[in-house]
Amino acid sequence: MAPGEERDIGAAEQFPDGSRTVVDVAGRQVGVFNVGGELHALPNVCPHQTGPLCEVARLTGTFRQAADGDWRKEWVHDGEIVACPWHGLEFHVPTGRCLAYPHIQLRRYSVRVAEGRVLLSVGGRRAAAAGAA
Amino acid sequence: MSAAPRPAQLGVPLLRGGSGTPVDGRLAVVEDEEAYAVVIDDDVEDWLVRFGKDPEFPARAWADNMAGVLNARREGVAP
Repeated sequence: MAPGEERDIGAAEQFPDGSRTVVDVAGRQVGVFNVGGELHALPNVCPHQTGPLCEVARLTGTFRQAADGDWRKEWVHDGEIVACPWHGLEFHVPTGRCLAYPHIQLRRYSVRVAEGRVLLSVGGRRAAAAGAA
Repeated sequence: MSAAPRPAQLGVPLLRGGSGTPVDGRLAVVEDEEAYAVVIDDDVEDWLVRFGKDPEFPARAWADNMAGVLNARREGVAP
């Protein structure tokens, strides 16, 4: 993606570790998460009933229970899981993958820090048109 | 108190809850070899979610539902 299509969404210190922010860029809302110092950006829309997926009070983890762990409950992905506030469908923020339905993959927008600013790219014609405007 | 500009001051409104419809555009479903994708304004480069094809997973139904529900929300009609 051309650098010209990136949007400056704020200073890096406005996105501290553990923060969750929703910004409006090129006609869509994007949730920006800082997970352990890494920024991740996902659409603020749940694939289930289009709830505001990223507007949560906190990120959580989830229980894993599987044969390879002798069916013991194991708490995993602590601080990396977003649960939709409408119906609770969970997604792993760093990968955008749905936990209950692994066939569902959220778009992971490009987000990076450059010279102390957070730059977000969403791609597509809308972003290109907004950049040219 | 930091003097750094907030996103809203940079022309990027900062939203925290109760933010209405999350996409200002009509959603459509496009199909490729591996998945059904929900995209904005028929732009395949502007996809939001991909639903992977698998005999055990109703990907098309999920994609159609997502697009239909959000389009109905935007247009203020029941899906």
